[in-house]
Amino acid sequence: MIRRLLLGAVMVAGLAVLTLVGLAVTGISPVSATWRYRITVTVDTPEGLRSGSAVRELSNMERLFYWPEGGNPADIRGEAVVVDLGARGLLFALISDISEDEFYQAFPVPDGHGATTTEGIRYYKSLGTGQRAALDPDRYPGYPRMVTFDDLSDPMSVRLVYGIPHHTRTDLDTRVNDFEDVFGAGVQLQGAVVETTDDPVTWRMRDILPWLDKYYSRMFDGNRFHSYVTDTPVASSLSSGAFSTKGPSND
Amino acid sequence: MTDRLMHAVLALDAYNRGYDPGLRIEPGATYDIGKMSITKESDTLAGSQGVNIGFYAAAYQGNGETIISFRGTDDIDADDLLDFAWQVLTSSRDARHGWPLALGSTNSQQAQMAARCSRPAA
Repeated sequence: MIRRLLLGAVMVAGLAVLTLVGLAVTGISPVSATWRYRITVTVDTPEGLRSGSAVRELSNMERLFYWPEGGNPADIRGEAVVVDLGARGLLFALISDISEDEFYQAFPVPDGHGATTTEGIRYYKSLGTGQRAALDPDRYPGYPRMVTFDDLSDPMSVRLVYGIPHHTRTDLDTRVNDFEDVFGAGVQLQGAVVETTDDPVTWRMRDILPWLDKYYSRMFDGNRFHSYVTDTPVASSLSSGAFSTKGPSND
Repeated sequence: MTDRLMHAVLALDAYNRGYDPGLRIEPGATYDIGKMSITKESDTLAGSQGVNIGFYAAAYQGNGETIISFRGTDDIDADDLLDFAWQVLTSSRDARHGWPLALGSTNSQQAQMAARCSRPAA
């Protein structure tokens, strides 16, 4: 056991020395980029239009060789969008690893290059601020999943307002649009717009949902992991990471 | 399909589920693989322990059996040995939290979470 650990330590130290020497000699560094975008969700209500927005950050680095079965997803930092509908309640448009695909849908890389390729990363690095595009709900990934809470202090009271109810199918055709059922007659989703920006990432979810830190490593239904066999598919599929990527043990 | 082949398919499948999949499942596809259906998966959302340590597993049921498939290393994509070493040292969660298991340490965080995932009540 000790010999194995010593061998591992020697290997790691060797890699460290090799890396530092190699970088010093070659001066090579991969293409990388960090960019931000504001996503704004607008809801039409009998009281008028109501909007909410959040600024998020994506980071990615080029890969010239891919580990088998590996991809090159961007890292995302940020939060869900909150739309205050007054007495009708709060609407949350969630964040997930699919959120990067919303950005890619809004701003496709020219000439058909993939968004996470070297060409894609270079493109997003050069995109500049102030670029706006509306999300198309009928193309993958569509609008983000949207939920509300009957009781803001009770994560189990989460209700799906818009999106795919269960993870067992991925069809956009199976998504629900329950704005009127949940918020009342005349309330409809108007749309979602993505805009590049250099504004700072917004962090305000803990002021709205102060219990978030208790639910990063367990689901809203109280189970440790996400069960697909459940009578509460929405609560079973959600944890706090769908509302804010900043958990108690990460940035 | 033989059991061995089915197990290999499920081992592959875990890389394409959950967070940061190698391939996005085609819209409209079901989450079934042959006669096996996913019944449970580990953490997929940001800030969770599983994502923080680069861990992912999915449980499948069918034909009267349950199979749990764990991802191996999938967060090192290097163009050469230099880049490989740099990522191992600086950014790979799999290297930090999973590779100690290869050296015999069952205290590694991915090993601990794999054990937890394997409990029926988890």
